[in-house]
Amino acid sequence: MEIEYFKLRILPLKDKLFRKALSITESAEEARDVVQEVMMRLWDKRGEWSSISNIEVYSMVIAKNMALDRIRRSGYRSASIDNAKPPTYSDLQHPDRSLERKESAAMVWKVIGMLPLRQQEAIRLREIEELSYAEMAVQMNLSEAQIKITLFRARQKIKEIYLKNKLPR
Amino acid sequence: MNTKTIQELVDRYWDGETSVEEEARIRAFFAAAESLPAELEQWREWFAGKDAISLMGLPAQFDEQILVYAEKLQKQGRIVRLKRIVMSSIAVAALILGFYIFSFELNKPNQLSSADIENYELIKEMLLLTSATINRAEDTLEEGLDNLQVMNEYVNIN
Repeated sequence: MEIEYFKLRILPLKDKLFRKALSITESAEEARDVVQEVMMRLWDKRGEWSSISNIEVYSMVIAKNMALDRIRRSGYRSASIDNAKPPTYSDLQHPDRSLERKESAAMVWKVIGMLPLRQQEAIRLREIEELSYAEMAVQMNLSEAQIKITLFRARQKIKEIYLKNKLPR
Repeated sequence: MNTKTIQELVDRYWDGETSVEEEARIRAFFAAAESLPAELEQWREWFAGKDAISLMGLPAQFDEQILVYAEKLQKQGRIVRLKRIVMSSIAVAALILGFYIFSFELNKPNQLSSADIENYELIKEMLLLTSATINRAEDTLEEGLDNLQVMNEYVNIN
């Protein structure tokens, strides 16, 4: 019973968790390790599943904390724009592995890395995790109005980067 | 979706007025589009790149590894539970057996060996002998006391 529930409800979250971890660690290897740890922890806590109201939100929070913890421990990712590293794609499962798509994805990470930290987070939550304004407000501890303004500014900055061709080639 | 519609959506996107669903449509459009007018082509990298990210994930091999771990732990859990049941059963059985032996011993009639009986008789005899000697000594003492009283009365008369 437990293994069936795990297969149906928890394991399918792996890609979402991976993208969450990837957006924080900016390393596919680190992100994969985070997801593995999250999955193992969720399995170890299978006796508590019934008391968790939303398993997806719960697992995303664990993934976020683990990814942040890894950054703090290893100092892998720098908040500095100059040092922002794009993720590696060596072991990722892409339906289309064309170089163009990979380069486009890498460029997105780079562009996001050029934004101020709060705008980076807003863009990641919206563009990568596809959260609603309400969900973003909870995650970022801001009002929905503040979220909309932050996201608007972030997008305007991205638009400007593309229009003025300030892309980090 | 025609280019006019997508242009409107893109404009609304930059102004932060699109929904999550509309943003997904924009991404998918740019990822699939063969050729685009220049005003849209400039955004292709951004939207197609986001589409590529949205498709990122872990291979099926990852699922297998996690399931092996889970099944292994579940198996270990079953063995631990089984061990607990067996140990508890053994403990309960030992308790019942101990109680049974104890109650059997309590209700068992005394069956003394011949050596025990001999010892018992010997001690009994010794105690009787000791008792007879004490009785004789007591008689002698009482007799002596009587004699002393007679002598005392005689002295007082004289």
